[in-house]
Amino acid sequence: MGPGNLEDDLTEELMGSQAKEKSDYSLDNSATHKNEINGVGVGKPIIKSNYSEEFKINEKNCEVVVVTSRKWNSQEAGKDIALKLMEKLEHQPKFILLFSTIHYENNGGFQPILDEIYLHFPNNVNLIGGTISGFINSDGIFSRGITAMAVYKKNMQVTTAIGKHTKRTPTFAARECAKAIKKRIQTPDFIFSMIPAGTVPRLPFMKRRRIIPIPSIVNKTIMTIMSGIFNLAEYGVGREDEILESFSKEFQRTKVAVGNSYDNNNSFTNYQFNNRKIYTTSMIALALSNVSESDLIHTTKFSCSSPTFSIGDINMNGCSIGSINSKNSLDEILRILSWPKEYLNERIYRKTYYYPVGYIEKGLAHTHVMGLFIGNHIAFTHKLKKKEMCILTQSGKEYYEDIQKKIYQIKNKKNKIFLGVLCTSQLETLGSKNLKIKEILENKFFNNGFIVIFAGGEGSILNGNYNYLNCSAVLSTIGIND
Amino acid sequence: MEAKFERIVKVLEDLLREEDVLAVRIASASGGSIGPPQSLLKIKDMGVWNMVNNTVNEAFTIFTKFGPYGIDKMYLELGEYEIIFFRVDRRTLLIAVIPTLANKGLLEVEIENTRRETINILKSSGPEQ
Repeated sequence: MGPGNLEDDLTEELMGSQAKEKSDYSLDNSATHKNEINGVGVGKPIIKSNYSEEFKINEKNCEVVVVTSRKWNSQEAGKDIALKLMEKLEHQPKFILLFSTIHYENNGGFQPILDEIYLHFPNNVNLIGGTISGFINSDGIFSRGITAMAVYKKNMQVTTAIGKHTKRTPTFAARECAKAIKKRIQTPDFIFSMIPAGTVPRLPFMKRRRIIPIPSIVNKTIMTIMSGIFNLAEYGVGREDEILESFSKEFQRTKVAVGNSYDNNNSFTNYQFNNRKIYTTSMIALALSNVSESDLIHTTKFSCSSPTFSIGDINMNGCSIGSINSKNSLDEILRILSWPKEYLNERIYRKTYYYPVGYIEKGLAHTHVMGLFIGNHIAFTHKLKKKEMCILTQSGKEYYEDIQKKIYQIKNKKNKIFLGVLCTSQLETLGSKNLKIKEILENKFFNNGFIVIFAGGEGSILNGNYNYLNCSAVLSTIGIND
Repeated sequence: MEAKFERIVKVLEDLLREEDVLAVRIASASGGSIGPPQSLLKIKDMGVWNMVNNTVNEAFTIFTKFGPYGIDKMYLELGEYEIIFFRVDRRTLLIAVIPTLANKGLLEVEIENTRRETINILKSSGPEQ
């Protein structure tokens, strides 16, 4: 078969009917094409000393620019992002948020992305970000590519900070990060932070696996040993609760939005970016002061779909259980879910997303996704805080309605920045239907100053209280307006 | 000016660069098809791919029959492969093969972007070939 027949169809059939189909967004960026045709900046990086001359001077108090690159090669993508930002910005940005999918790990690495950006922007522009599974912005929804948001606001104070070894010493990492922030901004108005998500452990002589068979007789001992090894080697669970608990003590009056850096839902690797540097086991934070009131809503709407059960034999920094209802946890969870043993294969995580374990407290569902099955133990993505749990469920309709309702409740609608953190589980289970979120944002408030990232987990600190959840949504606006 | 078909093939090749997209093409109800050259396809069992190509007519029959009810996509699981049919319009389908263990939701986002980009190309002005 060749294109000939298709051509006949196209001229006769496709063109007629497709012209009627309304496409609600375009992947084409005409502005950038124009830029490339004119050769502005292409192939001749702007030298930093000339930087100020490249920007038009105007009287705007604030500026927010969001761009996307879909190029495969990391250097080209970094350049694409830098040039698009340069073209649209009228001021030197105070900070840049940069989110990338994991694809560039095997397409040139992440360093060229950051190098290209700092080839076009001076070193005093703060940058944080990391890898994520996907994102939504005004250009569409993507599970491959890079998005960046550059922000300028007169008199806004900005600093970035890092805390190293989150998986080995989470409390210390959080304190280290907080201390670095406080050196420059004592009480920030808003913080956005990225924390490395948990990763599937790589065991000697074995492929990365989600089902790890261990004889039941040595189960408990092995779990304890593995837990120690994972902590030392800095893989396995993310220990986000411990990080946020410590961080929240330092910032009682600051609104903090948190997303886990993640990969393409394989949980193999993830990266965090801070200015020119790349990390794999560090929390990164961007702190702002001298901004107006920001919004921060952390929401998740699930209902209990099983009788309550009690969990026990907790291990792995509080993330794994060995018993349910005083019985073998594996057999018992299969019984509760009415799942056959055949479901226990490497595809299991495609099912466990739909059946998080957890509890509902003060209207917020605390969801835990089953991530690993090690012998009789079930390891969850983060720390289990209650002994009484149930299986939680949510429909796609409930998810959208909840997010829509909460977006409508946002108080400071004049804020020019919307930053959302959604769970990768929502991207995996609902795919491109997540475009509804874009429609909600565009229809209601935020014409283009928004980025929604799909992360490995979502966290928030409000009035000194922290929450770290899966399958939830952190919806925030940053107090930047005219 | 680059012909529409060349632009569509480039868009399909771009999708094929996704690690878990093993094969992809656009097929029309009249039997025509365009896609990346076979040498770029990553599917190991070409028998499956040939079978898919030989049964496109049946897929169109299903899409036509369920058309009034808003059929948009169709998924088939064939052992270790999953075949995804995306309706581009009533006489055109985008067909992709992914491993059953792939993260389907994430890939579906990019397949949908390819579908939309194909529509945009078809709607644009310029030579067909």
